Amino acid sequence: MKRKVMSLLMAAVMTASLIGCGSAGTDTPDVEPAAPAETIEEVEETTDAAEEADKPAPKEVVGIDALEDVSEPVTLSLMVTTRPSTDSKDFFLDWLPELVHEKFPNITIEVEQLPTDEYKQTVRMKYASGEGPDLFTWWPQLQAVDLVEAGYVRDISDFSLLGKFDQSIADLYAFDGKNYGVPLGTSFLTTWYNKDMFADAGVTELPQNYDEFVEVCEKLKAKGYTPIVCGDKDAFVIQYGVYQLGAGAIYPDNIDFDAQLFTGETKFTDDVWVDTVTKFANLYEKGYVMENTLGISQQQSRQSFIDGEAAMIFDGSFGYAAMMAEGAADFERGMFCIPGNDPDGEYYYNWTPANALFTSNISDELHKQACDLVMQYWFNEESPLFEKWVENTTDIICYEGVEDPREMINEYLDRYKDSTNLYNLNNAWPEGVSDALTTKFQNVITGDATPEEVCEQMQMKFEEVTE
Amino acid sequence: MPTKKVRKVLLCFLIPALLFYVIFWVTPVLMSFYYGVTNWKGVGDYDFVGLKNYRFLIKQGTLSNALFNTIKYTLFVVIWGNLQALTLAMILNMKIKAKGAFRTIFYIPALFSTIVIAFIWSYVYAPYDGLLSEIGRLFGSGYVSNLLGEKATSLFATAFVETWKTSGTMTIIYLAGLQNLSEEVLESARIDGCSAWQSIRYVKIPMLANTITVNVMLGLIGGFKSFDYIFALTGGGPGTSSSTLMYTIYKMAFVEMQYGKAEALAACAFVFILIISTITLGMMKRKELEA
Repeated sequence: MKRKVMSLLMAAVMTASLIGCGSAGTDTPDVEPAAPAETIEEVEETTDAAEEADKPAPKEVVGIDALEDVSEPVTLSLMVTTRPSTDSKDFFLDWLPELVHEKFPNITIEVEQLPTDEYKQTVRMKYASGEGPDLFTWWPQLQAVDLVEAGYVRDISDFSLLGKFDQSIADLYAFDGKNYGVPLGTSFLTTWYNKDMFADAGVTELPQNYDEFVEVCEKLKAKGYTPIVCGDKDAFVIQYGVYQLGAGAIYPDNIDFDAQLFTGETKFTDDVWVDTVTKFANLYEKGYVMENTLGISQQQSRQSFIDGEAAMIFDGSFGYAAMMAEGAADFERGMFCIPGNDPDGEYYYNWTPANALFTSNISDELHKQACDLVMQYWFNEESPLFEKWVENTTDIICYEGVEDPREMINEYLDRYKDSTNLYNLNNAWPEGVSDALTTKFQNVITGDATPEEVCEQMQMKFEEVTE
Repeated sequence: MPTKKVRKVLLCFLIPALLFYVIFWVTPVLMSFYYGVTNWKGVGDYDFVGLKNYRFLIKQGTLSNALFNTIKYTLFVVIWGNLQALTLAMILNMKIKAKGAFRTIFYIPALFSTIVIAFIWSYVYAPYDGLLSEIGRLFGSGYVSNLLGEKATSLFATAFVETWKTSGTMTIIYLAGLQNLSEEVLESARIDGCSAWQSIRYVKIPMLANTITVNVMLGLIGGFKSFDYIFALTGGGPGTSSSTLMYTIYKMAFVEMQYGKAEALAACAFVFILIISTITLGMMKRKELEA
C-alpha cells in the first residue's frame, strides 16, 4: 500500500513537472528571417512590398521633455553579455540604469550580465519559464528566429525612432516584414597589422587577393618576423580568420550560398568551402602562424601582438581598445581584411550587424510601457543617455548623423566602401555549425584532420540540427 | 521501541525532505531520460525522435570520446591524487621542524577558487612566456611548454591542476587517518623488525583502508564530474581531446543548443557513473573488511 502511495506521488510530481516544462503543443507562428544570404547594402532592396504593407506605421517622435514617467514604480530586467572590465563607467551597467532612473524615478533597471554561451541559454530558459528579461541584447538573422517564433519578443515596427537607424541594418532583425530589434550598431572582423614591420619587410601595399596575402606573409617571414599570432586555445578565434577569407572565396560567385544550404543546393563540402579552409590551413602549414598557438588564449595572443611579437592578428573592430593598448613595443597599427579571392576574383570584406536591443512580449502592460519610455529616451539624440551611449559603445553606431569617433574605423570603412561586404558567416547558420568548424580545425592545426574533414564535420552538424 | 503510531508520525516528518528530493533530484534525472528521446532545443517546440540522439552519440563517436576521456581523467585524479596526498601526509606526520607551517602551506591551494587556479596555471603552462618555458630557458634547454595545446597532454595537464587543488584536502584526511593509527600496533611492528617501507606497506596502508576509501571516492566523484578546469583551461580541446562527459554535455546543451541530445548523453553518464561507483564502492568495502 505504502509503495502504491509513493508511486502515485512520484507519478503526480512527474506529470506536473512535465506539464510545466513541456511545450510540444505551443502554437507559434512560423517566421522567416529577412534574407540571411544578403549583404548589408543589398538586404534593403529585397523587402517585400506586401510585408511592408503589414508593418504598423511608426508612431510620431516625442521630444524627451514630453516623456512622462510610468504611473507606479516598476523594475525592468535588462540582460547583456559580459562587459569588458574598465576603470570607467560602463554604459549598460552604470550609465543606463543611472540616467533612466534620474529621468524616470519610477523606473529602476536591474542589469544582469553573463558570458556569451551561458547568456544565450539563460535568456532562452528564462523565456521558456515565463520569466524573460524585459530588455536584452541579441544577435541578428537566424540566431533570433527561435525567440521570434516562440512569440517571446515584441514587434517594435511602430517604434517612432526606428527610422533613424540604417534601414539595411534594422532589416536584419526583421522577420516576416516586422522589426523586432533596435540595432545597436555594426562591427567587422579584420586583420590588425604592425605597419612598422610591414614597412621593414618591404610591404608597401595591402594585399588585394589571397596570393598577395601569402606573399606578404612570406616577406615578413623572410625578414625574421612571425607573420601571424592566433589565440587558438580559444577555438572561437578561428572564426575570425575563416570568415574574412570565406567572404571573398565563397560568396562572389554565389551570394545565396547560405540560403541554398537549407535547400540542399549547396553544401559545406562544396569545393568553395574546402578551398577556404585549405587556404586558412596553409597559413599554419607554411609556418606563417606562430607555433604552439593551441596553447595561447585570445588574451595572450592580443598581448603578443601589442608587444610586437607578431606582425598580424585576426580580430575585430570590437577589439579596438585592446589592440590600441600600449604594449612592450611602440608601433603604428593598421587594419585590413584578408582577401579570400583569387587574382581575378572580387574582393569581399566582412562587415556585420552587432547586437540589437530586443524587448519582451510576455511582460505586463506596465513593464511594456516602461520599456517604451526607456527606448524613446535612449535613442533620442537630445537625451544625455544617447550621448553616453555614443561615447561608450564599442560598436559602430548606425544612427542617422552619428559618426564613429575612431578615425581608424572610419578610414577602414571608407577604404572598402566600393567593395561588397558580408556578415559574419555563422549568422546564417544554425547553432552548432560554427563550433563544429572551430573544434575540427584545431585538429587540422595538430595535423590530425584535413580541411575536407572540417567541411564534412560542418555539413554533418548542419544536417543534424536542421533535420 | 516506538509504537506503530509514533513511527507513522515520525515518517510524516520525512515528507518535506522527501518531496524536496523527489522534485529537485529524482524528477530532473527521470526527465533527462524523457528529454533524451526528443529534439528539444531548450526552448520552443520539440518532437519525439526515438533513439536518434543515442544513435548520433555513438555514430559520431561523441559518447566513446567523452567516456574514454573521463575515464583517463578520473584514473589520473584518483591514482596521482592519492599517491601525492598520501606521500605528503606521511611526510607531514613525521617529526619535522615547522610541521604546522608546512601543513598550512600545503592546504593553501584548496582555498583558491577554480577560476583563479585555472588562470594561474594557464600562465604556468603558456608557451614562450609561461613558467615552465621560463624554467626550460633558465636551464638552457630551449624547451617550450605547450602542455595545454598538445592532444596527448592537455587532458593530463588539466587533471594535474585538479589534483594540485585537491591535494590539501586529501592530505588532511590522510593525516587524520595516520594520527588515528594505534601506536601499539606500530610499535609492535617495529619490535618485530619491520623496516620503514614494510611498516608502511604491511601495517599503515592496510590500517588506512577506510581513509583510502574516502579519498578514492572523492577522487572518483571529482573525476567523473570534471568540468570546471576543462572549461577554464582547454575548452575541451585541442579538438575534442580533453572533452569529458560533463564538458561535452555542457557544450551540446549550451553552445550547440541540442538540449535533447545533451540529455541523452547525461542519461548515459548517469548510468555509467552509477555502475562504476557501485562497483568501486563494493570493492573498497571488501578490501576494508579484509584489512
